[in-house]
Amino acid sequence: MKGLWLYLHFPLLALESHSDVLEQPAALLDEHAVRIVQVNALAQACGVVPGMAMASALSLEPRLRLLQACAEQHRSQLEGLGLWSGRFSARVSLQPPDGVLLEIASMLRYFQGLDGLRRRLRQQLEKLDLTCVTATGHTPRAARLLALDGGFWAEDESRHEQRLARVPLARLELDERQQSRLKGLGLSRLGQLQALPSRELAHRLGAALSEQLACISGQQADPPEYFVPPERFCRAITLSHEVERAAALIFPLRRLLEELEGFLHARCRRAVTLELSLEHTQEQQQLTIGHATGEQRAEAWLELCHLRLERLQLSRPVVGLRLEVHELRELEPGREDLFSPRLPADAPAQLLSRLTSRLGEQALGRLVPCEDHRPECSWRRLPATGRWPKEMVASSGRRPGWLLMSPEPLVADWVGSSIALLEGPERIAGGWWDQHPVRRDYYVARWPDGRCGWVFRDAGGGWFVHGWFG
Amino acid sequence: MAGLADRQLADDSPGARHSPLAFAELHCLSNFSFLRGASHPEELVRRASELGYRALAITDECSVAGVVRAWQEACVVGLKLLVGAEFRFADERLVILAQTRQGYARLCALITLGRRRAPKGQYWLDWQDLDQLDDCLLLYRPGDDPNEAERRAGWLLERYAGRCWWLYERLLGPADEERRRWQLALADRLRMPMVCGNAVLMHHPDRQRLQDVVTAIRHGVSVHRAGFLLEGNAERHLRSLRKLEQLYGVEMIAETVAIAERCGFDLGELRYEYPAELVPPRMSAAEWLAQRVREGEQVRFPEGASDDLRRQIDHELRLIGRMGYEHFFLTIEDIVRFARSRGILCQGRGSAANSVVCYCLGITEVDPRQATLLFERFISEERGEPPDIDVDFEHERREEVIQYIYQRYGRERAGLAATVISYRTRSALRDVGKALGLDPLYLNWLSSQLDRRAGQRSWLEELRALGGENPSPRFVLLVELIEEILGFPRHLSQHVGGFVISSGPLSELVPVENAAMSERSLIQWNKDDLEALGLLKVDVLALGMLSAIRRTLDMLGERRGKPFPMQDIPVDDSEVYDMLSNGDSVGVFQVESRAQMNMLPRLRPRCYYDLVVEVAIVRPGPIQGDMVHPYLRRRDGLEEVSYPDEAMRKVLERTLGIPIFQEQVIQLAMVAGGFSPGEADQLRRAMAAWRRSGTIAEYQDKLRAGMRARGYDGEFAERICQQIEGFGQYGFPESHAASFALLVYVSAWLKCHHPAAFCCGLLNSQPMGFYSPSQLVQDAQRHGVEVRPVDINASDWDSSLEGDRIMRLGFRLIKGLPRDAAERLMAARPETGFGSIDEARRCVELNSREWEALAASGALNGLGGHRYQARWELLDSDPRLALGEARAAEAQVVELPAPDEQQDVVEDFRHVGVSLGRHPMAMLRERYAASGPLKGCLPAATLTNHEHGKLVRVAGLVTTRQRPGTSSGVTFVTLEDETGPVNVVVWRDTAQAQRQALLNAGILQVTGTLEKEGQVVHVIAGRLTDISELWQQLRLKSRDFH
Amino acid sequence: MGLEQLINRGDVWRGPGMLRSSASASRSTGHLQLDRMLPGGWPRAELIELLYDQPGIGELQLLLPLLCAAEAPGWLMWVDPPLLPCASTLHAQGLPLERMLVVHTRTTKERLWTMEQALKSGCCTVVLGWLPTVDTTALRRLQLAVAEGGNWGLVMRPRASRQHSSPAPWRLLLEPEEDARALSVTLFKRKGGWALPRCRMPLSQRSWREVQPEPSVNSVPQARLRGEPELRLVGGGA
Repeated sequence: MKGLWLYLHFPLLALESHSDVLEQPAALLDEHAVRIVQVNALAQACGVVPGMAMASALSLEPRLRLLQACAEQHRSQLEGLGLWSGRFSARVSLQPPDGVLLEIASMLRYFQGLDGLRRRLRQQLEKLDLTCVTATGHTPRAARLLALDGGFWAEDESRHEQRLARVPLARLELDERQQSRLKGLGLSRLGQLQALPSRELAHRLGAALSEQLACISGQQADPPEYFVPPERFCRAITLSHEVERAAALIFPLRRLLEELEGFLHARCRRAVTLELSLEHTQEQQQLTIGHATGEQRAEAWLELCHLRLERLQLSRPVVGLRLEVHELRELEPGREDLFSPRLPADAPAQLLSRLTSRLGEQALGRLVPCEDHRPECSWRRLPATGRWPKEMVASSGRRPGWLLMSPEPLVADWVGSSIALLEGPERIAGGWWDQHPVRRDYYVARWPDGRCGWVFRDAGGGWFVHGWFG
Repeated sequence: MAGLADRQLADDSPGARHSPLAFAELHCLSNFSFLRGASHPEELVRRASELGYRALAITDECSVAGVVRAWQEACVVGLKLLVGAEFRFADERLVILAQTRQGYARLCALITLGRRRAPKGQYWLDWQDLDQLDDCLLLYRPGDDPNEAERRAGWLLERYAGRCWWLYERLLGPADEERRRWQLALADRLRMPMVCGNAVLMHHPDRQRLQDVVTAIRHGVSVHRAGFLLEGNAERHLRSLRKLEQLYGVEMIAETVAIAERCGFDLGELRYEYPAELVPPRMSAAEWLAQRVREGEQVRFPEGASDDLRRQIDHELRLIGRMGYEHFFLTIEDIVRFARSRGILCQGRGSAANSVVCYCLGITEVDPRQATLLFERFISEERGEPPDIDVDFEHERREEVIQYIYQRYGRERAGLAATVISYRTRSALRDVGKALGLDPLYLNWLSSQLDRRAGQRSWLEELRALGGENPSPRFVLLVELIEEILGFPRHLSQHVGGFVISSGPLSELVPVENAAMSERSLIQWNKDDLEALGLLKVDVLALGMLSAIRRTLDMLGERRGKPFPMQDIPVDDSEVYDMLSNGDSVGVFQVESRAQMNMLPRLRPRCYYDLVVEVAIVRPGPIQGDMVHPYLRRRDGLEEVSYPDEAMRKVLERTLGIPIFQEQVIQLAMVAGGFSPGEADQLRRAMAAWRRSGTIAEYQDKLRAGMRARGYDGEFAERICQQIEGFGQYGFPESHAASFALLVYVSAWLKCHHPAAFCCGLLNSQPMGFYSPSQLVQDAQRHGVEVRPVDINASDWDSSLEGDRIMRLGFRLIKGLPRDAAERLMAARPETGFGSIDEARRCVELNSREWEALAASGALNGLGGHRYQARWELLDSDPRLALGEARAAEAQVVELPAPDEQQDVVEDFRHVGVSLGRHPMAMLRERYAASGPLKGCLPAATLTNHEHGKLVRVAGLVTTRQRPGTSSGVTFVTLEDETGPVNVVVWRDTAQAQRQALLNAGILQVTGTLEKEGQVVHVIAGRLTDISELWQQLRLKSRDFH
Repeated sequence: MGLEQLINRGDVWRGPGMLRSSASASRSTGHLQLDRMLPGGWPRAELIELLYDQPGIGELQLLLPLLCAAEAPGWLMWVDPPLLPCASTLHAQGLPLERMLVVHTRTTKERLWTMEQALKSGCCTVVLGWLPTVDTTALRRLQLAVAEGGNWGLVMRPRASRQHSSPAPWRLLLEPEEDARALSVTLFKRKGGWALPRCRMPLSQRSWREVQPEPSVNSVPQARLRGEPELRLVGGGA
């Protein structure tokens, strides 16, 4: 299984994929937000070390910015890198959690030798702003070991073997007991292990270890599982903090476009229309960006998006970006008719979209009760479509059919004379926690002409109408 | 329609209490209904009395944990307190009030039944359980389902006619009107008497915010999302009489008073009923006690007690008889006798050490002839409070004593007192912050900025300062609510050793509930409650040093062929006092800490009483009261000792005129201030509780007046009061110090004369004390003890002696080797020991992990050459299998390289915790002394040769980092090199500037100025450099931040 | 003109029997008397006008049975209600809030356009519109839209518009009763019949007890503790 492999190791992938982490000390916490898992260079300078408890890290560097690891987001970042490296080799294999393996023996002639490939690779890596350690090896596992141990470039096999011998055993990522057993035997380097007779080794330390050694040296085949780029390109990024200005979206967008370019390379296609959606907390904003003849290069698309984003006025802060390619075209320019809008299929959605398009997004909505004793906070507006809470609890007291948006004052003398109090008081006091405290006694009242309203008397003694029994 | 007349509900100001109405609140929860009630029992009682209530019932949910505190306050304000409990059945509530002592017992039994069935903190009860509740009154508040209410009310009326009421509560909630309508109608139809209540949760409406927060904490949500879990308004508070009158009308209110009058039970009625079986038949407790004391007297004073001792014993016996405490003494004497019969070392301390009777009964060891005893401190008729006796047992055998108590008195007659776990600074910040919806990461950051050990006052100030000049409204809320919640009880947990023993079932005296530990149960009152009610409690405590001393004595007895009781240790051996005066006290009880080590060379103890002073003087109390320096100056004769008059001399003579012990403060108050013994002891209690109650000021004025009346000049009186202030809660009782001093002397004697045995004793009683096994072994080696490594053929489970000054480390030190595996190994070990690893594997059956632990610890080095080779052979298949022979034929012989000295030390520390090779610093100094960072570093032992103020550089392994609360931010660091420890003092700003080196360094290099006072040497740190990378693997686990 | 258009023109009197036939197409109003006056309940596919000036007279209770009975998946659309419908009350009374749409328009033109779209689309079971000012041509368009949509369309207009004629086949006048325990409904225009007199319709939700006068009136002390409001109690204790 000899050949030449290139392993790209991204030690801080999870941390650096958050766009704003470059200028300040930052660290990544594990899922339960207890221990530090990754630290960037600035945090390292202040003495924060992976494995340290969060409290002591904070005591060392109070301004440390803490982010939380999330496995699912991590996986999609790696896929993005898989797409991006499509430009260097046709055979790419993802090595979770943070590595990409490329088969480069066949590509040496295309890049005029190893140095040409190395130069091209360094150029492209700059644009990604990701720390990356690269290493070559004559088997997939050897390349991975050398990358984990600081990186190495060579073309012939003997120089690889010398370097491999000096790799510490910890890099083999063995289980705890096996590692302590090796330490107990005084073995610390891969070379020492390879020197022992393999049959004794298998008998005393188990077959798994000797099999791993065989894969490293190449005696045993170890074909990697290749990454197949998806049919349609659809990638999303969630921003680590809300973005108000459209221009600030450029940084994450550039990375998405880079991945797009890798995908197009792999697919030998050109993209004609891109569908960029800016996700707000509850709704999204769709932008369609078209290109007359179709384009592959990320820079060109970036420019088009830049123009469009400058004119855009963000109505709400953006928390996420989604990029989709709707139309692809063969590399050679083919004949296509221009776009024709599709007819929406179902009636209700049609009615709603017509109403929203004419009256605007905010005109239409639904009302849902929420759990708060204060009447003005006992409801919330939800969009016409979308999710609806499973169960709702309404307050058990006697409440009117109509509510006034804001209580109207009432002449105090009428209360008790012309306006009769039929029922109450129901005292509502609370809401101290969100600077909207309330202290009222609510009554059902009857007007001289027979209308029934919901009135209250506030702490200051003033009377107000808050609703009507419709 | 006719104009509607309506009525005005008056406000709650106490001033508006002009209506002659009498009212009793019968349904009120304190914050002992954990995370439901929002007021302390004391606050509720004070408020009820202010509002002019005739009585108040404290009815916590299935608990009476808060009633004693309420009762204490009720006695002060003169309000009648009813004892009861609330029970929840779905949305129905039942309040049960105890009418008589018998009713109270039934209530406690019901609570116990409910609590014991359910896991800790919950209870399970069903309506059928309420079958025998005689002498109790029941108030039933229905839920929202009228039919269910009708059925239930009918059942209650039929079971408890004349003793049950319909509880009607108007909380002005949402469905108030309908509820009122159908409940009044139904009660009339059933002809069930009605009474009103208010389901009180807070003493004043302003506590609504806190009540919302604790509710949010209970449900684990923030207040913003708590929704209808929160109360709709603040009506569940103690309402004014006028407001009640409008809400409920005169008739129902009068019924509350009628009910209150039918409840005559008062907590004061609870008397302690002692277990009877201690006294032999046909004898009275007093006679039996007197006989036991006389027998003890023969043993304690073989030559016969002096006359005044006899008078003292008779005086004590008469007082014990009058107070009826004979059974108490007999109970403890019985327990101590059991322990002694099993060879379990034990020793009473606390106020009991002031009594000659206890000395005769063998409960305490303090010989009245050596220390002056103050019996009033132990039992005073005036106070009427029970004596407080703590008994220390060997910490590993304490469980035997506890099981003996359970087996002798039965599970239902003996239970552990409770401790109330309440909100402190960090827990309050975490929970209140979460309830206000603050981000947990932000809360962690906040608490990491605050110094935990500062007192609560300064902690709150620091927190407020973190908010900046104009803090966000939510931050202001956070600080205010934290201040309110501090001190709130959160749950009950098990007192460390406080036992309550009663003659009848304990659950009729106080409810018993399950503790977290499975077979343990705890009562719902803590030790202050028990003390307040005059109920007896026995403290069964654990003391590591007693185990170490007993093990050492057993070893010495074994070596010399006859048992070596503690009494055989000669008294006042000058060699021991010389050793202590040099500060050589590693391992010695109570005086091994750094501060004590620095004090010993300055105090230079020469007799037992000096040790009593040494134990008591290195405490925050004397340090804050600035009594240490004057005492030392007077002791060295630099300051002449003066007493204003003869009476003062008698009190302060034994401490050269400086009050150090609490007893002295009490005697001063009696002698100079004219206090009676009882009043003096009240002063002591006020000093102990000074932080909480702050009632010390009145005693100080009384003392000043007393002293002025007796002609002592103002300046002297002022100094005494200021010293009392300093004592606060840290003043150390002389009786405690006296008991401890005995053990200090015994452990020092053993260390001086038998260092090897003493070191083994300490190693075999780990974990205890101040030092790690490695430091204890190094100290023994420095005292000429030869220490031999763990060996498969030579070691026992315990470290053992192989000669007077030769020690063999035991298997117990090997990490990962359980005791039964070692027992099996020792049992199968032939006389001549195992020849080879194969032979050992054939004879002993251990699993692979245990064999690996043995090899890694170097115990197999004798058989297999070195540990790596031994482990390699262990990996081979088990020789006992037949297959083994065939395989051995063509197995290639593999020679692994042996570990070098550095690897050996690392493996020793990782697997045994002790390394007998050279000290790591010795190796580093050898390699780096000439050129590397260790250039110019002075060894620890040579520091005394250099003069004060010289700039020096030292380096060593960081073994302790300590920042005591009292020092103003100073950190004490101990470095250890091959010659011994170096004490380094790091000022606050030096620590702040080089925080990373201070916190992370395993091996630290310090450049600073030398400070010398007599033999005591410190280095004041200037520059700290982390040189751990010299030895990156050897990261010694240091004992951080005591 | 075919027989069908002739009958639908509304000016040919047809015997009461005739109305029965389209009864199945209407939905009960929840009140027996009113159902008898109307063809068995709220008529379907025909514009209905409710005339009243101020809210709080029981008008919602009148509509509740119709709104609650609207089965899925049709929308319930409220166009420009004068006040905010109270979500918790409507939810407590069984209204399917997830299908209740509240629309706010800026101008009358937009409001009429919206109602027309909603009625014509056929996917709104009930459309309620509040139209303070509207001319007959707009009403005619709404009438056609209701007929085309085949569901329920109700328009709320002020009392004064009784004088003006309106193409809506059903017009009701709503007036409150003094004792606030009932609502009086006058069906002054109905399809295929003469105007009917006023009828009194009891409101079930308002079962407040008759209030007995209090024996004594206490003076109102003005003293007040920090922030504790005086509580004016109605009905007093037992």
